[in-house]
Amino acid sequence: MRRFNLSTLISVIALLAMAGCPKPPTGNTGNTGNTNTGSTDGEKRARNYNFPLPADVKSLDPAHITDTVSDSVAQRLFNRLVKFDTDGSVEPDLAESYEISDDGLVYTFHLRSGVKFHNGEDLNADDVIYSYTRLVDPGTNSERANLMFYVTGAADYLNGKAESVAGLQELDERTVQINLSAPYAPFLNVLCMTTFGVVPGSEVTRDEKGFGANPVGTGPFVFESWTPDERVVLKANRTYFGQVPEIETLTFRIINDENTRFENFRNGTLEHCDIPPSKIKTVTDDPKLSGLISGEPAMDMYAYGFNCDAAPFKGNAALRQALNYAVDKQNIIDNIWSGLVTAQNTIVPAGMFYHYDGSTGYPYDPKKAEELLAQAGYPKGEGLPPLTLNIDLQPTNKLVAEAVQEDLSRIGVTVNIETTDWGPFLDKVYAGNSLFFQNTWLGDYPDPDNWLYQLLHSENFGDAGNIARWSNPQFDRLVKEAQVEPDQLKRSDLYRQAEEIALSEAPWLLLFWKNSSTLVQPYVQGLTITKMDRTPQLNNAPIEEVTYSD
Amino acid sequence: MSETANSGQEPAAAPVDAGKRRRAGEGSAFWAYVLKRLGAALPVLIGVTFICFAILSAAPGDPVRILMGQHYDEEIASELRVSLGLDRPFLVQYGMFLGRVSHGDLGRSYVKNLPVAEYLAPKFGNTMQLTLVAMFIAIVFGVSAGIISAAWNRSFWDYALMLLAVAGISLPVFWLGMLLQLLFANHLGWLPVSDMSYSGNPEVLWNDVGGSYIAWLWHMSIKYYVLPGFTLATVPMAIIARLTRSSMLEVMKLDYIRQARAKGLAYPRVVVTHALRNALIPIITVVGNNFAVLLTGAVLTETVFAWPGMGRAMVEAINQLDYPVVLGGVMIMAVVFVVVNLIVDLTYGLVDPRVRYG
Repeated sequence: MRRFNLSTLISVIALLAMAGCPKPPTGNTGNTGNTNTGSTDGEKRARNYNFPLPADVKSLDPAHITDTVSDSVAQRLFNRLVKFDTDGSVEPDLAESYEISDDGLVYTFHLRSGVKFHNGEDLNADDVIYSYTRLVDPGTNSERANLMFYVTGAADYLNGKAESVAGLQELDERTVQINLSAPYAPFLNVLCMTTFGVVPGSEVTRDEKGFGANPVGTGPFVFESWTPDERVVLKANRTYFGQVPEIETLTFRIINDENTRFENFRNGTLEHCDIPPSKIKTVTDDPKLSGLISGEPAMDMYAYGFNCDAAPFKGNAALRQALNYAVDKQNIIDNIWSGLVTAQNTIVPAGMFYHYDGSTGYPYDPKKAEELLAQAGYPKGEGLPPLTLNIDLQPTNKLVAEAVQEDLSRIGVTVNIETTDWGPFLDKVYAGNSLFFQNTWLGDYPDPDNWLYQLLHSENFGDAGNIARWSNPQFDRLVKEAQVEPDQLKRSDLYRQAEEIALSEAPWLLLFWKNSSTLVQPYVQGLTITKMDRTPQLNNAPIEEVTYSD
Repeated sequence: MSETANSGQEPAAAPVDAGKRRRAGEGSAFWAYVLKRLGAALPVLIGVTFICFAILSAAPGDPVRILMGQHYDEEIASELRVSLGLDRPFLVQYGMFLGRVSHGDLGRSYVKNLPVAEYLAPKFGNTMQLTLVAMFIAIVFGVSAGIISAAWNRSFWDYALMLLAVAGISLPVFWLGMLLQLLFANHLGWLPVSDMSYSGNPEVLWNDVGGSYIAWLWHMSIKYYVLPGFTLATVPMAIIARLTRSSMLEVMKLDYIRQARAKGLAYPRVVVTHALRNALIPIITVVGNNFAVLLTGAVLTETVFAWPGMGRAMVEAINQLDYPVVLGGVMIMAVVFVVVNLIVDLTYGLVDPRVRYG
């Protein structure tokens, strides 16, 4: 009797296990003999691109994309009116051409003809109007609604004061006109963000909440499936209006652990991957692996911020400068990052029309740091209370913090490191409850406005980006002037003046720019990694251009 | 053959024999017991979710800030807070949560914009599969090792196996996982580094393996379970081995074992049919507890092997302050513990008929 029970149990488990097994593909079981001979490793590769992601996708709805991981997938699904070329310049995408009025207020876009959504519908001007209006629709609750505020009447529509967005007009089926409430020179750059991806109204209205998990766009890849925490699968769009991808399946594999991504790459089951900081030496010492690195200094900043609105940093530029001079950046670059990051000497990174090449920033100079510290009223650090440095939980960030801690202790400044989860960290820093904190920024678009205005202008004081809570009226005026200046040379000059003020006032402790250093399999051709990329997301790298060499 | 085995068992296994005389009416008492236990789970669930809700509300961090990322705007943030119900007082929020749950709605993830149940159900399934594999490995190897150690007490094998068991308990799981990856995936190339199934085209694979279903199934699915299964099994396996050994040693000292041996029964038969049966109760308790713990998700193993299970989902939800997912997950975990404990208690009766429910 008991034996019988046990065997029943075992057979039930066996049956359950079998029921869970995948079914064999039934379609071509008959012709295995024919195709088997031709199917080689090369052919398999030619069909598949395995793309690692360090976290799961949150939403693939352009209106709700706020993180680089979701953006990395959405970039391949949607088109905007204009897009960034791999060198960061703006070029037409869904728009065939565009004109900007002399006063910088009216943008007219002429759409390509024959563009179809993945569901077969034609893309028209009203889809563009719909997609942009939707961003400020109170029902959408878009986290990025503020990006639309440059457009006339967008804020009124969000607040329910208008029936439609006055600044969005369909001139005809192929022409869209956008009116700005004030000239804004980087506006085309803003339009390149994935937030402005054009979506089909018919699909979105059918199931607005479900659209983020079942997106339909016009891009080079078509959405196939999303298995949360496991993978997102896209298929090539064979009717794409641009370059039709050679890759047939683009599989985003969600692998949180950096070492697991690395081992997968070494095992040949990923086409590219990032280099875990703990493995940098392994990679640079291995002639085979080090030959597979591509990438360059990216618009990906890692610095510290001082709270310039609280003692002891308030009104004490000498103190902020002293701490800048006291840190040996080269030591951090060589010994923690093995040269895979670049010293930060400016606020605006390289890779856009304006960059202050000549700046030496704050070279390591402990003597000068001590002088400035005395000048600031704290000779040898006397009288300066211990500073608490707030950083997140990343192990490498902790190593950097410890290096800074040691450097600052040499001039008599005591630093205590406080590591917290990302949520509490944001809470503390955004609310102004931290004096000294990690300050990171990944450029949204290659325009100095994204750095100088967003991160340092007093209009963005606190929450909105200027978490150092620094303000300088002259700097504010110059940056505002540059926003409306259509002439790029004149804009460059204004930014140069503004940046010089910010550099000398030192609201931040400058550290380094991260590189987009990526390991790429030797057979992968045409993967252009740009300055706007963070690895392994490679948001802007045109994956549709990838081919395989063997 | 079974005849002789039974005749030899009768006098020795006297305690087990009592089960044959079941009292009338025991069946209904049994079901009443099951219902009572399940009913008692309700206050447990309410208590657990309330504590969890309170901790989440009191913890620092604001889900909206995390949601908004690089371009925070206070006006938009406050609207988001209203739409997520985060502007309400704590007790109102908890009441709304209970109201939804009573209708079978666990709410929507803030971050993923998916219904929580729809998001967590496959995660639980994936964790369940890995747990079953790991527990299978742990029980088979753990119990065997324990039996061998007890039967040949103080022998070389006893010391060797118990040393391994201590190592199994003490090894950091992520480190063991990484070592296994290095050896079996990258050095030998036998097994995949991570993931739960083949990410390529199943039809191409079908052709590559020449249409053999077993080979296809291996490459498609089974081989992905081996490394995470073994990694996850190490700790319970070691615990089970040590416990089986001590429990067996205790039973082996009893008179009926000596009697069975005195009758001339073969030593292996005495160990397996007479001693093991009566040593099982503490082993079942430990198996049950470990099973429940693994079912709630093994964060480290799932992270190292990129396994899309409960552990990873919960850690991510906690990091992102995705309250509905955290609460839904905690509820699932509470239910798992209640159900597994109940099953363990019911299994006692199956193994030892002296146990009565009521």
